[in-house]
Amino acid sequence: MTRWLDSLGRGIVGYCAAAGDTILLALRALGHIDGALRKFPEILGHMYAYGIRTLPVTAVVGLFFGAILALQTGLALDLYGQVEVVGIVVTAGMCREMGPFIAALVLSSTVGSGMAAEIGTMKVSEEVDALEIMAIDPVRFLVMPRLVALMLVCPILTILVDFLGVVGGLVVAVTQLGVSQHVYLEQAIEALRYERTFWEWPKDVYTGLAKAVVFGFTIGAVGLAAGMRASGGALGVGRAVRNAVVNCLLLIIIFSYYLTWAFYG
Amino acid sequence: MIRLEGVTKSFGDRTILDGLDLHIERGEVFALMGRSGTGKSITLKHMVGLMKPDAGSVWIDGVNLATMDKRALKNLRRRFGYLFQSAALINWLDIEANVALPLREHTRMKPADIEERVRERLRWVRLVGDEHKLPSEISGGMKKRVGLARAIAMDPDIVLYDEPTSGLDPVTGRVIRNLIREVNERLGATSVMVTHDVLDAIEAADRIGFLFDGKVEEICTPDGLRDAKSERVRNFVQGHIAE
Repeated sequence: MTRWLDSLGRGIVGYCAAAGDTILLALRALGHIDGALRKFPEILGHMYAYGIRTLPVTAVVGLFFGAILALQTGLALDLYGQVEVVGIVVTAGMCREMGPFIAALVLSSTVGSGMAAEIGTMKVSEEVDALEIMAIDPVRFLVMPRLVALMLVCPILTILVDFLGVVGGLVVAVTQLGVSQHVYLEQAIEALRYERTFWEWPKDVYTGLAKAVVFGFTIGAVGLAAGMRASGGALGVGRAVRNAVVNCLLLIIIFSYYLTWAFYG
Repeated sequence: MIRLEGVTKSFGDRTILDGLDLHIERGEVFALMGRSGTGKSITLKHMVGLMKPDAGSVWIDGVNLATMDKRALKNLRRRFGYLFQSAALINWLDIEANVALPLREHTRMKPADIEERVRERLRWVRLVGDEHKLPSEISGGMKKRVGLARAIAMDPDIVLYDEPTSGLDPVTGRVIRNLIREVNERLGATSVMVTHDVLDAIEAADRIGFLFDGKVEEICTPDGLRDAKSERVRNFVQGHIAE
């Protein structure tokens, strides 16, 4: 019993320490944000790598998710003779919730884990120590450019997922639900007209993009912090990657709820 | 130049350094020897402030590292060059960019001047013509030489070498040892090398310290090795020579 409590206590303390490390690292990276302009060519390189690496899978997932959303909601709406509004449901659903969520999901499982592995390998092979000895701040040199790149890439991928999701929904609406293309698109545009604030921007779009920025920041902070904490060779790097993916997914779900609540609650 | 006074360092219940005292003179090449796991690399990391002692103090040019704030420590580190055991080259930068890294980050040198300095350092370590290869495309010996070129790119006052010849064939090992002496003379630097290879110490060092049980047991010159007072030191050296 004592041993069990001891290991539970150690686990909780370890988890809290890791969370604290992640928050501190993220804050330190934000403290170097003024250097982002100087590092912009490097940031662009990271954006290109992260965006291109995840583009095919993001596009496929976005397209099929829109199709699933249209089919599921369309069949239910058809029972009440309301199938024409499927365009509204798909567009609002994708822009508000599923677009940023899918982009973040794909990024955390590909880029987040990749970052943890890359930085973790650098940590265990003393490359991070080498930077410190050369008086080069690893947070400014390694963390900040990657974090900024992810904060910019996630909204871009979100726009792509939103668009492809609506297209996937259109295909299903026209071919399987008997909704005309004209009606679907009219409803989709109506969904974006529903509420316009913040310089007349569709609220569903900008809240979705704001979520995407937060998700990009979260994935970067969690993945990079997991890498920076890695120790003990290949085993430690593997552990860092696993922790990064699990924590990213958990935080994205939790943050998604609270952000929706903050914007619409 | 470098002074360690009563430095103690433990990991869990295992004490690695146990009141270590060491004084390294300006301009010399000092070799710190000992068996694997005796804390040689840890001693080196204390000298550059990568690790902090549990007790005792580390002094560089009369300044206690413990009293330095982050900025002062950062400025101090610019005076150091450090060759890691694994070379620790940044894996996505080519050889030229690795050597140029500290110059690009810390100086306002023009790109042409940086390129000239990098080529000069690469000439010193006999690595001309491979500037655009990635670390993954070169051998272990070449990595060490690139690591050395990077360590001396900023004309450091103090160069620290962590097992500079481990894992290298005897010929490449001798090349690295000659480079250590050459660099020390060209830059007028102070060099500290940790090694478990007696040849490194005999060929490159002015003085050799032996680390046993977390303390420096004895300091000898290369010529005085066979006449060391400590039996453990004599056994260590003879064991190596016998090997």
